[in-house]
Amino acid sequence: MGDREEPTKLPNETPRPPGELAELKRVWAPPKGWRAITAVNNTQIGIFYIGTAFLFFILAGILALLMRTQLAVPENTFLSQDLYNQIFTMHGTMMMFLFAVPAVEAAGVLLLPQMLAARDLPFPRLSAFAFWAYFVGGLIFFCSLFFDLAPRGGWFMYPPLTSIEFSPGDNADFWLLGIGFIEISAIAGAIEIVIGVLRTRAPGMTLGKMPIFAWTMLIFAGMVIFAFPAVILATMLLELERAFDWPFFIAAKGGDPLLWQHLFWFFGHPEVYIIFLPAAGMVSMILPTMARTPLVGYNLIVVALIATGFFSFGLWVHHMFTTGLPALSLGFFSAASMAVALPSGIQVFSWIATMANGRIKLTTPMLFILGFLFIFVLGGLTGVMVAMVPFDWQVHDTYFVVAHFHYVLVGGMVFPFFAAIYYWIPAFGPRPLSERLGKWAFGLMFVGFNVAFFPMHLSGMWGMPRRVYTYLPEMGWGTLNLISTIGAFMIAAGVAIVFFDILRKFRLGEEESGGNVWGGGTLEWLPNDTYATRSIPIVTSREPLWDQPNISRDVEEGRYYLPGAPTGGRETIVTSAIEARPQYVVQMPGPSLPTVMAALFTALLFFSLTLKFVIPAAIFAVLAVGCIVKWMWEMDPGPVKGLIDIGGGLKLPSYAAGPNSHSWWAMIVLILVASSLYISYFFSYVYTWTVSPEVWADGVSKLPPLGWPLISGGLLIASSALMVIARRSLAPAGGTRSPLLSIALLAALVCLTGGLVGEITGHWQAGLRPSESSYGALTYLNAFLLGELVVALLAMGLFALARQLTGRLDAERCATLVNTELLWHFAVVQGLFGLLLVHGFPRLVA
Amino acid sequence: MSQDTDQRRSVAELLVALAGPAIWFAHFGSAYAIQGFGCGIAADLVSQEAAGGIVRAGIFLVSAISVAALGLLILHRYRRSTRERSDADTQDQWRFLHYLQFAIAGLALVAVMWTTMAVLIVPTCAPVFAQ
Repeated sequence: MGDREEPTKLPNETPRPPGELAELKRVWAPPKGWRAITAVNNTQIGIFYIGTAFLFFILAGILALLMRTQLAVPENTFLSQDLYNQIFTMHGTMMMFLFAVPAVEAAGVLLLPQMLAARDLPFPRLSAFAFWAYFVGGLIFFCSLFFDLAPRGGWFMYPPLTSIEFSPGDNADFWLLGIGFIEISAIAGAIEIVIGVLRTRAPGMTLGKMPIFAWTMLIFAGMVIFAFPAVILATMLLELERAFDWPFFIAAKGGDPLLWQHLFWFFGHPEVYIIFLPAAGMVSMILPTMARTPLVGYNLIVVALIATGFFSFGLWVHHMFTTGLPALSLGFFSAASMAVALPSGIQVFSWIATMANGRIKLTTPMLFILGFLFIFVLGGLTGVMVAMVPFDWQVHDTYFVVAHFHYVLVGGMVFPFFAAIYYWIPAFGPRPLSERLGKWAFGLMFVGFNVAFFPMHLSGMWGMPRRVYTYLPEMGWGTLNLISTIGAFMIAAGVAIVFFDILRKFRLGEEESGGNVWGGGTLEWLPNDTYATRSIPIVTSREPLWDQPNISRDVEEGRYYLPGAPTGGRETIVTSAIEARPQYVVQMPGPSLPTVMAALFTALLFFSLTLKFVIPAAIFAVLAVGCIVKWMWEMDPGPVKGLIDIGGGLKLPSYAAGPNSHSWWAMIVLILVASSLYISYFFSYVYTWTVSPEVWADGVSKLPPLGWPLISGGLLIASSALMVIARRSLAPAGGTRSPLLSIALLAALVCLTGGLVGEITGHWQAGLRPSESSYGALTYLNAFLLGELVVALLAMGLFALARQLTGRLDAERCATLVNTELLWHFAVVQGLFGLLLVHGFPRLVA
Repeated sequence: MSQDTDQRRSVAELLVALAGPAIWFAHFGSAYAIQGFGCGIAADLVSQEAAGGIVRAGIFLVSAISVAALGLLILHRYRRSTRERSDADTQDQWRFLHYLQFAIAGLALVAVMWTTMAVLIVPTCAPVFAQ
């Protein structure tokens, strides 16, 4: 059989047994009424997610209109200076953190299972938690504007402007805790996406046959995992400085404000690509359909995407060209900034070649893509201009930069996102949006965008600085600003048309979708429902609907794998990472109120911390943990369903633990997040030492005797050994439980906690205080980071103990313990490295 | 192939695919660190000019190591791809992955050489505003 042909023998015979489809529908039925909020399925959560992102886009857009109104004429008094500062900070922050990243993540949650022919993403409750945390946290953050509590420090919140001395009050804390919290939600979504793409693809969908959008989401998620921890650490440092006077950024105490910029931009520059790559993935999906020809250069595009993902981590200093760094550093980053144009160029040329290869139909999605190409290429060209250090010095912090990044971000993300809305709405709603209104919307947005932002290149080069709330008439910027304001209102009119059309045409929960109206070739265009497709197809090419003409009918009639719900609950097939061979059937959880409540209480916990309400914060923490325990208690069901016949004589296990399990892979990804956080800390430690070595020289006198780290290290190693003993004491399934497991687990918890307490006590007794210098702060921060892991492991360890005592843990049903053990060993390795660093490094450099 | 062997091979191949850009990142990080430490510390012990020489030598050394590592990777993957082109038993997914490994390593090599060029044309330890 050739690779692109339809399989001649399908796994299942028809007609299917009566009641099979009804059972599938019953199992996957979305909750109704108020219980709709407990939904966890990707088709509901994905739409809630995109709807919320769109809401924040509109709200942040309204803030932009307020700013443009203020700047329309010189010496305007429409907004006060202070309110303007709050508004521009909120506009940037919301567009980046509450719209752009969540919108592309939401598109992944909604589209990936359909494209990969999985019934859902592998951790649906995690998706629901991530969404509700974002929804509640985002709304609280936005509402801070109405109470004069919104941050004022710009979307990148540079200290010392945002330090307690220059930004007293709670405004900056709303940014630090609010955005920190929302980033955690983004990381949860990224873990879900990595495992979803690598382990739940349709049988036969090898990496080389995976839709480009899935590649971009995989790379997006990888970048979130490595980039976001840097800004989480940065927000942690600034909040600790503001709340407890730990001087990470105070130069007088050995800190350095530039550390913030390094950490922020180590996240912030990849962030641009985090937003752009999924949007590019959308373009690579839509364009071949509109041109009726496969994407030209699929392999090269994948290479370009991976290379862009990596290279984007070597560009952060190009935001810091004017901070006085040595010339050679600037040279490296300037070179890397130019090098990243290479993979981006590969993609642009592939898109042009695809258009040249096919016959383009000028539909609304296609118009938005053409708009994207025009605007993004212009933004890319000005990007190469600002990558040149001397030019950057001239235009740094001017409106030229405002124009550049809006061309990149609006061109690179907003236009593809609107193309995606028009393109995919018929796959999830009853009918497509209006082509006539769509073309009006595109026209207004495209012309409006260029009218609004092109003049900013000129006003920037004529010297207009960013973030000014007004200007004098004699500066000569008035006409250009008025033109920009007119353009901004044109964009708003275009967006309003789209919004109106969506309200008119889209209804959540309609059974019938609009169908494959564009003639797309990928699996999301199969007939689908909340359970995705009736049966899970075998994929033999990149555009199965083009190459396997009967696939839609056969899938719908249940001729492929898993045509029913054989476990009596929700499930999907887990496949191998590269070859997509079926490995086991994962049993998935259904709707859950505790998941929603856990997100709500966690958001309220962060809100209370922001306002320094300690007792409510403690109450919400307890409630959040309680809800998480309730939610998790139903998980790890074990192999109770035995082997599952998915069709074609293929019988798969209904459970897996250890390295084959998707949950084990998720734990590995979580460990990568924690490693990335720690590497950012390590960088901060060494960087601060290079800035203030004299503070480290003083610190040696306050190092505790070596006995302290030796005891702490010994306790940490002992805790790891005890965890190994605990795992080895698991009783065989149905066998007698050994008390050794409980004893070893408890002892491991005591040793782990003891190791942490020993480390803190040693420094405290030696007289070191975190507030006295950057050295003290960074030394205690090492213990703080270990402490976070210890708290998580205490909860996980006690949870495993409870499952052991209630008979929910044995040698087969052991994912809870095995995954806990994995994180445990990581915590111990991090703890030992930390001891070596904070006790060894100062002695070494002294 | 058993599930465990399959899993191990999958993970190993994915890691090799990421090896090229990982070497680039290690090179980039090392060059930046050598410059940071070298110009900060060596300049306290020796003259600024001598510190610049040390830094330059250090960066050339890591560049040479990175180029050699990437060269070996590219050569190995190229030979494998050539062999697989005529081998009917090699499945598409492995061919695709080996092509990715080869091409990404190639791009990483270009990026390493491009970044290293900065050392040839920019003064090493001079503060930027003094020029």
